[in-house]
Amino acid sequence: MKILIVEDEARIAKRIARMTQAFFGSTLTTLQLVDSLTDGLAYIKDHALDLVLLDLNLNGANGFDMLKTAVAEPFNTIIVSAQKEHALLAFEYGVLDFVPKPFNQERLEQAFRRIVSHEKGSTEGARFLAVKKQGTIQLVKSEEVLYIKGAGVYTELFLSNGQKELHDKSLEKLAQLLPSSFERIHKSYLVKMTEATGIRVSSGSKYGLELSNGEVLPIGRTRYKGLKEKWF
Amino acid sequence: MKISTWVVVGIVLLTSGCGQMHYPDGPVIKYKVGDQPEWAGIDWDDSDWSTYVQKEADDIFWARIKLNFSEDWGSDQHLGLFLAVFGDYDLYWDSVWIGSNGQPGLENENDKSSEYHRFFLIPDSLSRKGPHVLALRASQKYYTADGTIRDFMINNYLELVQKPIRFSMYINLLAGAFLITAIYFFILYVNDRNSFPVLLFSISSFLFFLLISTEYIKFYVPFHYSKFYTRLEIISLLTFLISFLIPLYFSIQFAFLKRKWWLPIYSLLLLYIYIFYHNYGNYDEMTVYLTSSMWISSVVIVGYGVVRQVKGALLVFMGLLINVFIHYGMRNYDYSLVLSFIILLLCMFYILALRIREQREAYEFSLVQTTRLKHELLKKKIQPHFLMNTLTSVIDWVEESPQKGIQFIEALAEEFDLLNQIEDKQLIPISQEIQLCTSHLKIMEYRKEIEYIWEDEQIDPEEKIPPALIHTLLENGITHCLPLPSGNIRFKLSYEANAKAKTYYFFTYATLRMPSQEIVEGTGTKYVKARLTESYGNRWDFQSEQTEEGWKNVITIYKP
Repeated sequence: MKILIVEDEARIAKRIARMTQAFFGSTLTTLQLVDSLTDGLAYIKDHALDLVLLDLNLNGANGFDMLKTAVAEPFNTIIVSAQKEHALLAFEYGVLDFVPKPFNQERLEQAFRRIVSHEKGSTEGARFLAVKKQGTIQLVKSEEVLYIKGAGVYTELFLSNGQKELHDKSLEKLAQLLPSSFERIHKSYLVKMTEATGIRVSSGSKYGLELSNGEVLPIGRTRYKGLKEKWF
Repeated sequence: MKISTWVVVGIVLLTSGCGQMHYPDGPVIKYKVGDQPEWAGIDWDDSDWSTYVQKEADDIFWARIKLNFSEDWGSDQHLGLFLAVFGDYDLYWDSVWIGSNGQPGLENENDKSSEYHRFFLIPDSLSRKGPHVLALRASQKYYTADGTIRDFMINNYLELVQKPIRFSMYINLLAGAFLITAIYFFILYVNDRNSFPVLLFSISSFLFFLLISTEYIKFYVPFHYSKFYTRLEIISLLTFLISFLIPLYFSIQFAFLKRKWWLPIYSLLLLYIYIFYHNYGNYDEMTVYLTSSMWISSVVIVGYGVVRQVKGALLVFMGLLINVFIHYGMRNYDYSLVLSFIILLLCMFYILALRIREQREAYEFSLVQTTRLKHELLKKKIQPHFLMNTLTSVIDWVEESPQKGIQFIEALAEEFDLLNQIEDKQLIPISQEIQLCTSHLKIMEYRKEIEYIWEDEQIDPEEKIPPALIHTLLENGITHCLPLPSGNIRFKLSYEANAKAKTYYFFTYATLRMPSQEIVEGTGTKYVKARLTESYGNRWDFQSEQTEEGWKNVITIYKP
């Protein structure tokens, strides 16, 4: 595990570090502390990470500026902040969890467990997916996404307007962040089920999911039964 | 009063008033010194008489006017004659004695009872179609060199007598409105001595009242012709004052920038016109030049306001232009005078109302601002960023070292206590402010684990400043600075006072997080400025800048 903590309160940063260490133990390979947005952004640029713990108010600067960059990256982001009123917006941006201050070990570990268990971050799910495009970050509304295809460490977002965008997060991570209407139908496909019109069975027990735009996506053999029970 | 205008009015009435008489060149008044009863006769040959005659104070002389009626004067109405004459006279109409206003030749210094204005009823038998002659047997003890018959009118007697009274009824109505306005705004001024424009407006209204009252008093208050110039003196003095006050009023209301040099020059110009024409005794020209100066100055001042887009300037400018047009364009002096006064006063009133509203809005804004600042101060201790971060640190300290945790909580209690004491105050002693700062630093030391050093020098503990001013600057310092290599951040407050101002210097000795970043005015700076404005109006200055050693804030409060 490679973890970055962005927190300007020295005492709190140490607290988070201590609790992180306690939770991940020997699986933790890197734990870096920075106390400003600029340092945080610089670190993200040059290092591969699994998790960023981010404060939203850093020396008077707005952490949302950094959040937008962070959520476009492959790693997960957990917010640790005093400003509870920003929790909803943070989830919409696609953070895994929002830990309000003051926090205890239990609450922080609850957030950490989501990384391990892949349970969903929030019931509402992310409203936006941040996509890196020509050096800038653009927000794609998750309601405009038809389905997502895994492509190695990246994913491809297929949008309702016919366009395709690349995302740096893995299919597992996106499945965790997106609303529950997104369902994993195959090891390489995550589909917004409101777009599904039916299941097509073809020879050799091959199953396919028909979408409203006429496309048919493969359904994983092991997932077929559960999918049929849940959605049809 | 314009004598010439009255003569014009007289002629206009003569020629068109009743539609029965027509004199293409106007009636000719002829004079001759001497005293012969035959001179009243209709057939007397006055071709050797002159239109002006040199006379002495005790001379008896005659004046004759020949008239010709093209038709009989109607039987249902009676002919009347109005005369405005310098002198005592017996009036003859077609050789018949009609009446007298005094005793010609026996004018007595102690008995100035003869009236300057007089109305006479002409017998019906003498108002038939054909030629007539109006003759005066007169003496003129005072202003002997001046013309004798200043004005005369012939018309239906009732119309002649009632018309000026009817007109003065409206004038008095208007004068009353001006008077009430003057009193009302004077009371407003007494209640708020700072509003100089209100006083100017009140005085202007009062002068308008006096001017039109004096102008038209002649219609209903009889006076001797020797008092004729007294009235003109009063009117010209009032005109002088009005001509001075109106542009002054506009120059204040439209913040005329060049007022400093304009005002003395303009005053001298008016004074010159006043004295010059006063010595000449030419009151009509004096009025023309005084009012012209007033109009030109006002139009320039308000026009300058229009260029600078001062609120309300355009409407007033239009009003003034209409006024100038009325003043120079309208032939009827009485109507143009009254109308231009009304429009001028409305212009002044409009701009006054606008400024009063602006003042009220500014006052209301200041009330809201005070409440807002109170809330902002209150928020300092309950805003989640401060409170939750502090509580998280408290929890961590308690878990690690209960002893330290307790000290931390005590420091927190002290800061809350201090904030409670100052929250609804507009000014607090600087010693209390310093206490607030040091207790805040204690808390931040626990949170940030940085050593904060507080220093102050030459502080007068009794001096008062708005609450949380230095505290806010301190917070900014903590937020935007990194410790020096020695591991600490040092703050220093010093104080300086001289005859003109009190100055607080607040230094932060530290490394700036973002030295090259452009400074945007944050909520902290806005709070500082708003607090200074609340307590000192515009008598303050706030400088905040980067130095080689960190940051420097300078608050200067000027003495009133």
